[in-house]
Amino acid sequence: MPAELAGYREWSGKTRSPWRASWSIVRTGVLMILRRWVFWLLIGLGLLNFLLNFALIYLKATLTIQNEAVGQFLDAYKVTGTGEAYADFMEGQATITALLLAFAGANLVGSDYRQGGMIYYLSRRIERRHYIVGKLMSVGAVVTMIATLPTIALFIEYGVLSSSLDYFFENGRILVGILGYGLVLAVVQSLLLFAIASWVHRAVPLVMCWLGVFVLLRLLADTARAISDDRRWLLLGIWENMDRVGSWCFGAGNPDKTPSVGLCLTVLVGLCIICLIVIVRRVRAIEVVT
Amino acid sequence: MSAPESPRTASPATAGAVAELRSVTKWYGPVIGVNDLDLTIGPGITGLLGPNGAGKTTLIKLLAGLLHPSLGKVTVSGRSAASSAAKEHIGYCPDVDAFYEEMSGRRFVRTMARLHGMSKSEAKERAEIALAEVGMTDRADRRLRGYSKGMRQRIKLAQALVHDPAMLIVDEPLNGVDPVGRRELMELFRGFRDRGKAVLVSSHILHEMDALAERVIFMGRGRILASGTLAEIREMLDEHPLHVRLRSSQARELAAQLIRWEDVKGIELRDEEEFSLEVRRPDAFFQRLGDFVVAESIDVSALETTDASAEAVFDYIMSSAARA
Amino acid sequence: MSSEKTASERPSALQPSALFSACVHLLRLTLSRQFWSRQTVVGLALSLLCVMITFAWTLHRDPSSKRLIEMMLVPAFLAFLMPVFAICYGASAVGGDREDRTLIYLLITSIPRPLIYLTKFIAAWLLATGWSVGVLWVLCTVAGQPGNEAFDVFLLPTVFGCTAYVSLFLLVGAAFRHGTIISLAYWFFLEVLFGNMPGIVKRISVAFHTRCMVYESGSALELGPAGRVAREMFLPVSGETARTVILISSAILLAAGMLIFSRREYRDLS
Repeated sequence: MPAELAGYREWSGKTRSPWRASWSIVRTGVLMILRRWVFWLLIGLGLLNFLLNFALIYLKATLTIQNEAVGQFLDAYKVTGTGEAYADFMEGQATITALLLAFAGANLVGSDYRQGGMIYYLSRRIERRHYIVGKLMSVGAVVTMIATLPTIALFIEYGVLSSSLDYFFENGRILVGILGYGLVLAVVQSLLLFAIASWVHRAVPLVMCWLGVFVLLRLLADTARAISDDRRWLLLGIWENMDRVGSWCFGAGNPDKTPSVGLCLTVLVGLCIICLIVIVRRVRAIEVVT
Repeated sequence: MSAPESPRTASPATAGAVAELRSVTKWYGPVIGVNDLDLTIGPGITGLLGPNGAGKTTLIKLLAGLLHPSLGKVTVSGRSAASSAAKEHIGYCPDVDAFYEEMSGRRFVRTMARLHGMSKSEAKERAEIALAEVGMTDRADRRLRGYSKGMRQRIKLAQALVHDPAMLIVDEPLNGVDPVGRRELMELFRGFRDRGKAVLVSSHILHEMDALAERVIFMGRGRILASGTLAEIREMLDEHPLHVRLRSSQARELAAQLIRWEDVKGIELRDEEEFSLEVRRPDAFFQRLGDFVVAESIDVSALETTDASAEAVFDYIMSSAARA
Repeated sequence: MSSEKTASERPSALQPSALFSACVHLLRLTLSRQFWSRQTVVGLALSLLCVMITFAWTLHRDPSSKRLIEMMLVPAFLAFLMPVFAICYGASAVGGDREDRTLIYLLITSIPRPLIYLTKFIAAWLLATGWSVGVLWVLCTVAGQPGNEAFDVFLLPTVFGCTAYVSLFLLVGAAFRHGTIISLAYWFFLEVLFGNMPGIVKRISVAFHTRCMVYESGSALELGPAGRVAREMFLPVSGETARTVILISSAILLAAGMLIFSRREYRDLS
């Protein structure tokens, strides 16, 4: 029977760029995560740090009006409002992000392997790169929600609780720093998580790998440095590398410290390239039946 | 449709009941799964029919002891369905397609036998019997992850049969099975019934229920809409007269006689040799028709009902339920 | 079916011997499925990494037991590997079956649910404790003579710590769908963050009690918080108290888990 008689007709609409599909993947992924109450529990725990900083900024603004010495005291410790303070806050948030990503990795990436979601996605009119970008952006969106957006909120709070808008004009570098640090966290963590989750799809081994990367590599780096008395061994600590590069975005941190920011950045870029290669090799719309 | 008696009996004899539900209600938060069910399931094959969300899976899970009723009582062989004593008597074949994938089919069935408390030798023996019953003896050494859907369905059935339960509960057993396999499985259910056991089969494949189930339970909106044999239920559908097709060389004469009968609601002549009738009280009508054609020596070459199948009855019941 | 005894002819509940046989088979099944899994491979990789770190450490540091314990065994083993093994086998003992939806096959057997849970606990405890003690032994052996002393100090706290962690994470895995993640969140927030806070809040953590046991059994090595500030921050309890707390809380968690598992409806299985 001709297709027309069966009720089929040619698609008359216009198909849009496949990059739009990446956006759909991001939206679907983020909504999938937002529907889980565990995510909100983790967000809630993650917000403890945010609330503490939020309260500190408020206290500082209030106390400074009553007693200027208190404000000077807090400024001396760089508790709020400075690049260092925001970098410290983001480092703390990034730790919580690692927990969230252990959860998100199994749901956003691992489940696509285990439950055939990847075949579903790749049978559409998109290519591998659109799928990969979509998934990376989903993970990046989670990182942004936990680390970057709360920091921007603190930045705005600090500015609006001051006596004029000068804080915003004088501290443009801080905003660049927040976005830069957020970008480093989002890019590195999303690539690393995708690469790991493409090998270990299930939550338990994924969590073990993820923790191993961040905890044991740091320990190995410290030990190796102690043996050889060479600080370049610290480059093995991915977390510290991200913090070094992120702090540099704020203009904070000691530029003469070894390993240099350039070396840290090189290690991170190299890691990202390796992760990307792994991801490209692991994303295939093939169902293997053994 | 007249409401069947309560408690509904899906078996000729309540005394031989394998499973019973008494005033069972199950809530999932604000949603009701099944509502005030009274049901007795005895030996024989019972079909469980209904649209999605009708409460079939809830009923099955209540019987398998996987859910606890919010109200009422579910018993299997006289014991609470959730108790381990009741599970001895139930063979449950779930619709979920999950296995210990790393195992072979044979090892999986043996494992299930061991988990039912059998010794190693007994488990081995029973596993072979169960595998033979589902026709998997020769193919059971391959890993489960490489099985086709039909083979997986058979292995699931084998694990349900392995401890020789009094009641087999099967959720959508014919899904993914080819026509030959379906016939074999239906024969398997009949063999199980012939040993005096009870089989409860939930299925969407209505025309196969015609051939398989002796009794059916129609469910909708968490309630039992009707239960009994298809003929009994069909007869209860007063507002939907039975459609009968009749073929005879004396079609006109016969139609002229039949239209005067009280049980015949209408006749439509199709051609010179064939007409169709709408009939009330089918049992009485067929009895009288038989006597009539013999007495008058009328040549009847074909006589068939066109809407007494499970599918047709299902449609009528669902439309009645929708209006209610 | 031409079998010796049909189900209807058999007694309604399993006889104790048959029940014991079924539980033993379930134990073997759980042990084999948990052991031959990807998490074991990852656990092995993490253990190897720890062994490498310990080996590297012994090349440089003074080979004293106190330094080995404080710089390697407490942060790498007690605070990281042991809870990770417990999460890995504890949370997935029921949670893994639930994730795979194979839990349904256990729930339809004639084994009472509390016994299924107890069997799962024994399997997870054997695996987590076996792995932890095994890795501890390797780490201590790699470290040489100081390691031998440290092994004696850590052996009992490791067994007690594993018992508490496994009973807790098994309960979480049985009660919650995302048991692994919740276990992880508990470990991070309560064990790591609260465990380092001042005051008595840290006494709700397993890590605190295992450390107290380590400090007591290693008193000859002068382990434990040094100085007034560290002592007031840590507020240690005696080893006897720590052991009692761990045993009682493990028993309560196990009983609670058995109760929850026997009453819970796992609706996500199909």
